Amino acid sequence: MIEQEAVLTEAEIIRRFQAGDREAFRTLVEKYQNVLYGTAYLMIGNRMVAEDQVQEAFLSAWKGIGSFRTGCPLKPWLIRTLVNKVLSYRRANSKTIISLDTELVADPVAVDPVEDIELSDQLQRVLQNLPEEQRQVVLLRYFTGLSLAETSAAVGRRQGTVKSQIHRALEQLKNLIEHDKRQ
Amino acid sequence: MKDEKNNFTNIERKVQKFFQKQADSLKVNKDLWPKLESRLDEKLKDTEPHNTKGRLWQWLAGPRLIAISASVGVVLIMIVAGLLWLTTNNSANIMNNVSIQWTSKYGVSFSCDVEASGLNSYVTNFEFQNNSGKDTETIAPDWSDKTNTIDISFSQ
Repeated sequence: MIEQEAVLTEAEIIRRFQAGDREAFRTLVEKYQNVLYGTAYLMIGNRMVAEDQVQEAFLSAWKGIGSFRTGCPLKPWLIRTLVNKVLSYRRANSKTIISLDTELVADPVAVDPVEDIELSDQLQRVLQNLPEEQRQVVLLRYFTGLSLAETSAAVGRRQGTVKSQIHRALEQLKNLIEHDKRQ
Repeated sequence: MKDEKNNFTNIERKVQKFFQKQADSLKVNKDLWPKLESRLDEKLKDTEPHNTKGRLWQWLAGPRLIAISASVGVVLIMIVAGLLWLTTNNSANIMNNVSIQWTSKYGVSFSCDVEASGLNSYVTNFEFQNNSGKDTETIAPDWSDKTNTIDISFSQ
């Protein structure tokens, strides 16, 4: 039985999920839970809230899988569901959100070389200072690994807008690194 | 220009590397599935249908193998309703009753109404008239006997 599950393609697992198979749903949850959690955490900056939003997103996916177009990739669809949940949460709780910087400082990224630590600090600083919309698209593009089209669908903005937001964010980052080098 | 592009690619690579390290440290708790499953059970329990209307709604809204959009569903329902209307109402009105009238050149005429019901046909009215100037006669068969036959013969 386990061997059979292992050889199932994602399309087949999705088909079973659409037919109401709970085990297929579990397989998909276990496959995508970390990337959803990471995305939610980097958007919200609070582990408990991030986990709650991931659960909400999966529950919505369970309810709405009937509308999912067979043959399309599942990950961007799940991420779009999650982004919508997180944005609704943020709108409803705008005053109580813990900022990303405090949480990230509390959970430093494990890095080995000194150069990496410096870069990591620089990146963290720049990312935290980016405007909210820019930070979202950078996150979805480079952390979640969505394509430009998928990122634009996830945040509901035009592809050209997303592209220029990413460009501006990288530009800022480049300038900051160069500025640090000169000092 | 080329240097600028290379610089940009380098920055992109650094951002990706940074996020990759973030991803390694950002793992969800192992009990996510049990928590999610209990919430799923709760949700299913809350939406458990108590009546036919609820059950129908759940079937319409619930996940299915082939997704049917709402507009396609409405069109399908309209087509089925239209076909049903055509095959029941109209055929009953147009096809079930037939009137036959015949007049001979000798002044003899008869008319009859035939009603079709299922595979059987019944004569519901029959009139025979001899208008040649001598007799006028109307024949009224025994309608209680659905199998009656009428023989008509003419003589001068």
